[in-house]
Amino acid sequence: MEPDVAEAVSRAQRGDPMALDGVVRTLAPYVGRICGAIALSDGDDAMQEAMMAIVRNLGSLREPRALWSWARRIAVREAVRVARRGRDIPLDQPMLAASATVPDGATAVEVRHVLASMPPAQRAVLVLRHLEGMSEEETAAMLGVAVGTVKSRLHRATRAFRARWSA
Amino acid sequence: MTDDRWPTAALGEVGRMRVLAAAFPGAFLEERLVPRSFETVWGYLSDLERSIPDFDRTVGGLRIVRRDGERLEARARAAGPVPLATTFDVDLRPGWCWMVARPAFYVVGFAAEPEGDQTRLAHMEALSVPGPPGLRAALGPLLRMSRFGVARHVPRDLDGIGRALGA
Repeated sequence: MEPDVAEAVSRAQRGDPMALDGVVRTLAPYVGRICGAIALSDGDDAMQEAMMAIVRNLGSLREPRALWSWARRIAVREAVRVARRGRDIPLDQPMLAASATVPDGATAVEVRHVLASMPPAQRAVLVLRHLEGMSEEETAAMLGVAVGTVKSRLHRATRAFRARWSA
Repeated sequence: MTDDRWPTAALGEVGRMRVLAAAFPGAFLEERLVPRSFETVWGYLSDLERSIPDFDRTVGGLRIVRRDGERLEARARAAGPVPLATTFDVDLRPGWCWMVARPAFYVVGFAAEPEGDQTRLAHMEALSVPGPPGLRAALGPLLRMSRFGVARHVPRDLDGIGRALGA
């Protein structure tokens, strides 16, 4: 992490409101990407709740250099929680199978359609593996599930995407 | 990996103000829908030397003493027989004003966004205590009590802004 971000986190932890705003601005695009992909139409609400949890608990972050992984954990948790209570009802399995035909040149609308066909926890696996580049073991640890669960969720999720996305 | 086909979430200026308010135990935030355009509302509000003494009757005057892009230094003088002066570091951008008193004991925030042909305006004030996270956590209950005073002041400011805009 860039030294000035770690310094801003330290200053925010010591009660500097200007530094706190800087930390929020720095984290917002990253948290927005995770929350948007997992919570879909509830993404803005999930992002707001995730960012609130982050600023409320920033004082408990012992190592400012761990900011990104710490924020990622909170963002995934809040996004899954908000998506489960929201209107994103997963479509049925036939719909999921049908969405496996998304072409190489899939548009944003088609990506969204494929994501909408999955339960939030499955989207979380896909985001951590493919947007964040985490291993199956790291993904399992972050979500608090067995590696086998990650594998099966990933298998179902990647069936819906073409090879260049699931590689 | 970044892929702009994946859905993303965003906070917006008002959302970011809600997030920052969550970081201060004694913060009070109020939002109003002002029946005026964003340009009208922000055109008035962002002229801090004119607007703040106009809508906040506890401020006798305010002067910008330094300006460096979005960062300003402002000196506010209290209204009344004892003209106490406070220096603020200010971050002023379209739709965003974040004012931090030196030495960081008080924060004042305004955020505005267009909502149709009206404007959503959020105003927040809070006591802010600099110091290590443990000390600040210990002072939480005391800071929460300060909310009662701030909760009286913030609506008066918004009333004053509404009067100034004829809204």
